[in-house]
Amino acid sequence: MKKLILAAAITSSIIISPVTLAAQSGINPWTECGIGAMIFQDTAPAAAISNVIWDFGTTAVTSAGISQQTCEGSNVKTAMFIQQSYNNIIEETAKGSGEHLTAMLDILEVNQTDRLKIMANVRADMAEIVGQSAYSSATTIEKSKIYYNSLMLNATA
Amino acid sequence: MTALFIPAVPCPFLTVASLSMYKYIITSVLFSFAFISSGYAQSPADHWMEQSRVQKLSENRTWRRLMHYETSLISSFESEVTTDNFFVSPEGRTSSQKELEATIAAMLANESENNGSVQCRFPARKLWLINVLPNSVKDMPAVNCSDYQQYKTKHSATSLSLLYASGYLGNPASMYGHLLIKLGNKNDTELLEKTLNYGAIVPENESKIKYITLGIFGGYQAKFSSEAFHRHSKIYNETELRDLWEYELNLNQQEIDLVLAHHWEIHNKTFTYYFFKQNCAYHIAKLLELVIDRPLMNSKKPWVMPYDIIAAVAGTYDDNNQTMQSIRKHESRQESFYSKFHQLSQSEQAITGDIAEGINFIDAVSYQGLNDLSKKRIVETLFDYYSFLKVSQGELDSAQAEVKRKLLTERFTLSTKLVDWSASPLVPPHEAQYPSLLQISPTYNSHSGEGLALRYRANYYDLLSLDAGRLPFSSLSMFDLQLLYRNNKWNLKRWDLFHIKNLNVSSTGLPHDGGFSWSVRAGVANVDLRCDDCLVAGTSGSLGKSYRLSNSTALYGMVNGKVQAPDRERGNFKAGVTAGLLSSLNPNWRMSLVVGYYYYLDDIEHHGHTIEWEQRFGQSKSWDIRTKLSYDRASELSLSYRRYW
Repeated sequence: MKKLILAAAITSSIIISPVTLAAQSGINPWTECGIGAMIFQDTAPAAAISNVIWDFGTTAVTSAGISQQTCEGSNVKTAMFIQQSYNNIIEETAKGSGEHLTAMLDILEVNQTDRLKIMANVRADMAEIVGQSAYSSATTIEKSKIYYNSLMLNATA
Repeated sequence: MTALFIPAVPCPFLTVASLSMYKYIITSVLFSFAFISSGYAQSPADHWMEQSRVQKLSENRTWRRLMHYETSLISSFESEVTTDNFFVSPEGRTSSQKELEATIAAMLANESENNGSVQCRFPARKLWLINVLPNSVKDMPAVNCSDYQQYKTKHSATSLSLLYASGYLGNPASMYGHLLIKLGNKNDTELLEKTLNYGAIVPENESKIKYITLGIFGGYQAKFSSEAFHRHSKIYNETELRDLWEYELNLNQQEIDLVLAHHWEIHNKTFTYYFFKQNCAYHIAKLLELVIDRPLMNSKKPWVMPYDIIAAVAGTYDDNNQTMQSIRKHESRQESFYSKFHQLSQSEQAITGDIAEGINFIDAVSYQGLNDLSKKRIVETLFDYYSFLKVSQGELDSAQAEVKRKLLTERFTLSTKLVDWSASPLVPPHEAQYPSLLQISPTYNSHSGEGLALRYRANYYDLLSLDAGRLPFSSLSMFDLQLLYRNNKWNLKRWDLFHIKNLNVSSTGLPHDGGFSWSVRAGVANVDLRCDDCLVAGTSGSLGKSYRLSNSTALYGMVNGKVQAPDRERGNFKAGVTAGLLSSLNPNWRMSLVVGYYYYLDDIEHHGHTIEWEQRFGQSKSWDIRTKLSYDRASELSLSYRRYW
């Protein structure tokens, strides 16, 4: 139920549907590359394992029509980065700037000149999303998807 | 070198055999022209192999480091690389000379296959060869190395830093910290800079006991890996709440290029992992010793610890050649929270505390009356607080998650001008005392008289040590052996296999900052101070709570339990309570006072009280003076000189 409320909040605040987003960003990293199913190893001994995920792009392709190469693109890496560092990213978005935001825009290969405007729009979107009481019960993956969608929408606008 | 041989064969009759013979003659002539044109009386490969023998290059320090050759007490001369295709010669694993000659020959051979040549596979060996045999490069054919070129693009660096992750008591393998290398590149955002890491290849869901056992006895293979710095920032700073200390090294571009070229050579090769020696610190140090011409490992010890490497890197040397250029700290979330909280004014701290305790919230008058800057200072401190709680509790509960959401919402409404937080004071970990200890202590015992105690501790630190870069109010001792000479004979006084204590002192007084105090200990010790020859083996544990009285003083209370054997006519199960005070009166003087009461659960007639009052004087890395007054059925006084190394 809460997810439904959240989904409604997303639709009404960003005014975008998942279908439109997929068309604009070209791919949905969560459903088509399986990054939602990834368990991010957060302990030191797992470093060598996670290396495989990050640096050689062996994401788990889950859609039959999607190639491995497609899932190694900058937008998929951006989605992975957002999911891994969501806590830092949303805090820095609220503050207005930060090193994780810079890294995120670098991964997405956004021009320097466009960054201020894009992030101002993302900040406005996320302020609305965070303002919804359903936000606090959403999972990190759900929040990451919303953030990614807002970023891609504003970056490709 | 094969001599040029031209057989005398009549020309007019070209049989199949004679055709072959002519092919041989033509080839031989072409080869001889090639040699002549290259200026050698022999093939280039033979020439350079000969030069390598003349210059004894197979004994060259850098070559041996590139090959990871080692000789130890238990093994003969052999490379530590366990992957066969690291060697060009079939005998290269154990023969430096044969591997060098095979490498030279292969470097000069034509190879049309992209990425297939030895030049592509071993670019550091090539760089080294060009350095020691400069003209050999002219004889190396052009090759196509697209994979290596791609690696170089991804791993370009203008500086290298040693990254030290502070010790973590939550994982036995991480208690001594971790080392990795960070690649600095002025053109990259720091979080996207690359790191070189070394670790054991451990199967998922490995049990802790198997993990420790195989880790100690060489049951795992290990390899280097390369990741963006943000992965380590996430793991260490955010998830394990460990500080990362960055020691930037004083290296030139040529040296940096050699390290990275060698990392390419070994990035897909394996080594056998041993927790105590051939560990991350060992292999990271070896990689850097390619270009740092001084030993980074402490040769006096049979093990290698990350601390030893950073102490060597930060050390000063007679030649005034500094290995380290600068030090930076990447704060953990917990440290960031503490740092911010202590920069708040008293009224800001009070409002922060009220919000954290749920007494008031940001719609309260006290908060709403603040200016934009104060609001941002409070909200951002609480960002760190709730991020810290999320890790220390496992997850935020629904009420905490809602507070965090409201804080985010509030921060969105405030200005985007950044708060100018001050950096916390820099007390880097290499300034702590060396981990190994030798101690000599004249003692007086009220029951047994005078004696002389000797103590050896393999590592690491105790409650009274200098705690630069370490978890404050904690101790971690391994292999701590104490012998006592009294009445013309030596006795074992105490032998701890391990003793770990964490008071978990709250720094801010906010809810959930500072959990339970705890300790675990296992070893052999005399049952009390009244008997020199009453050893019992046992394991003990304590659980309690601590309170910070000031920045440098903590008070704590604990409930203790111990299982021991033999019973020594007292019992096998000991229980009790202790109360302690730990305080640094000034940097040169720290003291610990612990009083306790115990009784034996299986023999309640045996009970008593204990006192331990110990003081440390001095703040040198390599020595200090201790005094200790103890009581446990007898009183004992000792004065100790401690030497750290």
